[in-house]
Amino acid sequence: MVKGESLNQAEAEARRRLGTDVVVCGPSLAANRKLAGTIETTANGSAKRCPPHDSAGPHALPHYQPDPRPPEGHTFYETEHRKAR
Amino acid sequence: MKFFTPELYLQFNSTDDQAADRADAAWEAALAAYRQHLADIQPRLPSSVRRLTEMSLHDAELLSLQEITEPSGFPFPTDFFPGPFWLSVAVLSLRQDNQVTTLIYALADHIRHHPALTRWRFSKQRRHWLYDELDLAPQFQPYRAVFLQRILFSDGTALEIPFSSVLMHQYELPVARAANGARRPA
Repeated sequence: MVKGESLNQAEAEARRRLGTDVVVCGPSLAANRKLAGTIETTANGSAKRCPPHDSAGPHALPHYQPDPRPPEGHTFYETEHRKAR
Repeated sequence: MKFFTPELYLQFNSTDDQAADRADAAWEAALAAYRQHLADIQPRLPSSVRRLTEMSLHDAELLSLQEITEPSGFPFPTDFFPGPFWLSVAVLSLRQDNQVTTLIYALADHIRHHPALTRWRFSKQRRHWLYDELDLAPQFQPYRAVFLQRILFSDGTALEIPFSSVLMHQYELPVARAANGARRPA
């Protein structure tokens, strides 16, 4: 996961409605997870949380995604040990 | 599933922060254990199976799953081996974005289907691939090189595919244009 431009929450929600990926960054797992969940459910309603898989590479992040899809895309979030580049 | 279990996935989705934190740590431990497991069995994996372990199919939509058994020609004289010779394959077709991936497994046994946990609360629409694991099929060791792929799907079901070899085929879907001129997958 590679970081792009900084967004506020409303902008992040708008991006998610369009199916674009966003990432919540910061030092706290709990805070990032909570904000990512809020962004995803506000944007797209019901969501589920998915942990990273090894085959996605060392920079893979946990994320929320709509349940069910569409739209496409994910709200990723950083953990204490996993950071977006 | 041995590492990325449906139970752990449900714990990961806990609404309780402390439980979710514990599940996050447990998932990282499962990842490390799986990485070690793959390193241990790597020398015994042919190149096609190694490529299978490197594929990232998380979120791929399952388009179709077929298990096909057909009689096959046999190269030896029938008085030496009078019985029929059968081939059994499984064909999985998956879609990720604009790409279709087809996995064709030469089966060593029937695919085992595991139902979802009763408390699995996620959508059962548009079944897609969540996590998978590659292993050596224990009942065939050490006499035959038979592998086992376990796959957890988004509807909570899981498959165990015992196979001796696998082929992979991928292609891009043509992109059509919508009425407003926007490009979209066909």
